[in-house]
Amino acid sequence: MNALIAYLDRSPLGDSIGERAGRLPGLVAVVLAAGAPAAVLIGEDAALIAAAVAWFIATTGAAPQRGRLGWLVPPLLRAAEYGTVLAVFVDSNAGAPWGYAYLGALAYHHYDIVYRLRNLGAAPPRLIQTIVMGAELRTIVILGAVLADADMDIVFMIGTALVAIPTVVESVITWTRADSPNMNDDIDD
Amino acid sequence: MTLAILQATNRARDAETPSALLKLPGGSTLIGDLAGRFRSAGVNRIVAITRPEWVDAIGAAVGDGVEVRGSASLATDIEAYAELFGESDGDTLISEADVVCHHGAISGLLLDPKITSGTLASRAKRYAGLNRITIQRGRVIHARSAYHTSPRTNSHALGMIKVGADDREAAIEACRIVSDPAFADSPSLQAELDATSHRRLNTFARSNQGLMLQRELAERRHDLEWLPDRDTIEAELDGALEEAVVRPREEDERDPAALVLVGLVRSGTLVKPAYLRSFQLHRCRTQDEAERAGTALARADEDAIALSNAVKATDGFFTTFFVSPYSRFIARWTAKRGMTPNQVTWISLALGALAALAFWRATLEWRIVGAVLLQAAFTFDCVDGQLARYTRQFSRLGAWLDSVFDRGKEYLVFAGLAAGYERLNPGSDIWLLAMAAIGFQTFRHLVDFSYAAQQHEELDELDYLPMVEAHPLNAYVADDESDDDDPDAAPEAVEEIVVTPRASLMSSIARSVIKLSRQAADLPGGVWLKRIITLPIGERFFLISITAAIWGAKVTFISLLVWGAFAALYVSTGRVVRSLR
Repeated sequence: MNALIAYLDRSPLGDSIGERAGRLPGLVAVVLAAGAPAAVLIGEDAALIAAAVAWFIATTGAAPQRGRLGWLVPPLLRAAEYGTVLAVFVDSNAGAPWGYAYLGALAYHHYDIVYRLRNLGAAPPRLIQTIVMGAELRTIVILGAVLADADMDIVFMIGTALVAIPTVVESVITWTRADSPNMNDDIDD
Repeated sequence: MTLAILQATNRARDAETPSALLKLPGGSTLIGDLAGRFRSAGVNRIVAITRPEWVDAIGAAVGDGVEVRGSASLATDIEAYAELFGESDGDTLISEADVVCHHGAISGLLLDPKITSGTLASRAKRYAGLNRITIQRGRVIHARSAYHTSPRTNSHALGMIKVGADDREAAIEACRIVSDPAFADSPSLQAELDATSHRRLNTFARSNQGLMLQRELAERRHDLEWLPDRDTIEAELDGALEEAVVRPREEDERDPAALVLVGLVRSGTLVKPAYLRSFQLHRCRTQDEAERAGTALARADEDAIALSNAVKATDGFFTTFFVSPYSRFIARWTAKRGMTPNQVTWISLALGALAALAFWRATLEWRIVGAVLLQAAFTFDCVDGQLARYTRQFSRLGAWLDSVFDRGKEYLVFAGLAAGYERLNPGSDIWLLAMAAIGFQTFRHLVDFSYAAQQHEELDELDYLPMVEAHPLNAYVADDESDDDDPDAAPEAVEEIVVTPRASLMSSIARSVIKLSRQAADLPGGVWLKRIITLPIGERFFLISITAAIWGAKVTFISLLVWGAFAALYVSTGRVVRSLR
């Protein structure tokens, strides 16, 4: 799979929509995605719903393999995803350690995508991508939780478990089985 | 089964015998010594190719372990190569037989698992005169031979290449093209060969010897008595031309390694450089050269060189000057105790986890302890890579562990810092800062990875000319984003890269920025400053240690975010500018 597309970290559902309809100019996708953290900061129900829709369109429609600056799109979408989590804790500290843990789990997953593509030549298995829901769905769940005024402590605790456990288990199994050597030694600082 | 092919067809400059039979101090011949070095690097089968009249002499020099084949010309040489590629079922090394080099140079090319097919390479000026190549993003994308030129090159191919087991087809195809009569007759190739000879002739004409001979010849017309007579001058001129122009042309025409390399590169095969770095490699054509090379090699401390080459050449400022000088000796110590790189990686993680715990205690004394532990963890993090390169133990699992634990250490330390601060200052927003730190750091890395992925895609999609075309100059645009892996190379050893101009305001601004950036690198310490700004891992861990020990978690996170933002701006500007060029 094209590396930049894999970096979008979509679920199989999102990928198939993206394959058919992914033609958004990068700038549009990024602006739409920025709506998610903004909506959390604003806090209004309408904003949250609009942001969820915009987010879905942005992540499924992004086409990072096009354009001279297309390579910036996946990282900026990730920044918007992380930014949404941060925005939840701007006003309230409740559950912040789990928010950090959730970001840690996401980070593990995202680094894992990069390392496997470079050294194993393959994107994460579809099963994993289904369980961890893909970027287009995870953020919508968070937006929904904010809308429903849920206990963010629990939300992120579940989120952490949902992302971390399958990813870590699967990657440890895969990597301990990989028996021939590292092919790329690019930047990693 | 690894195969090595030694090309022993060059004549020595001062004798009629092959240069491969020149003697080293110690009595062995160049080819005998080289064959021995290949054997100890693990090569199973060695074949020497030489002219029919030298078969016996070469056979005597190499003994029974080496097959010797007679071959009368380049065409039969190449056919022999094609046959040998077909027979081999593992990697194949090709080398000139009159080469003297360190064992580490050979094993670097042969044993590095990252290099499926590759060539020994160097950017050092002392190898000027050898075939030049273009290396970008760790791959060879252009190679020159006597028949082939390429627009902008930045390194030298040192004449030893490896053809990977999976790339044999491409190599055989290259041999087939070369042995086809249409190859030598191709007007474009003949033109290039003539052009190379012409350049040599011009160089000779401008040289001291050339100028003197030309002047003597001119003055002889006036019949001046004190000059040697005409025949003598002309003989001397002929001899000099023979050496400066004719002989090299003959040798070039018979350089199968260069042609195979061009063939591999032009077929789109992934060919990587194996940098010589501080190892020595000498090509000897006279007895004198052979003796000097042998002495120089023997005098060098090969273990010290191997250790020095185990240190990455492209590390950040902090790592290069404050860690690598001593971490390499720790690496050697662990090698002597038989430790594996993975064990060292686990030690590094353990130290990092302990540092996080110390930061969680959060009092001044514990934060200092944490800072020291974190620096120790980073030192061991450097050691595991150096140990792996020094002992040539590579594994995917090892590289993955190293990367994952690096991230793990850093983000565990963030958690420890935040938890500790929160304990002493309940109700603070420290966790928000910690989240910002981890999110931003991950974001920066993802930007780096995306850019690299896009660059690799671009290189994957390059179009190559077929081998029967020399290459029109200036047809290809190369970026100067070189991975400067060779510390021996001064910046001026890299040729200026020219860009086909896109006629727009945006691109001319982009080009001025690139030019400014290059000029900044030429300032004293400029290269290091440019690396420090980007806040690489060494600088980051040091920043965390210092700020956490003296001021505590809040300052740590804020400094990471501020410097990181500045670094991100700097790096992204550079990349966006290059993308818009």
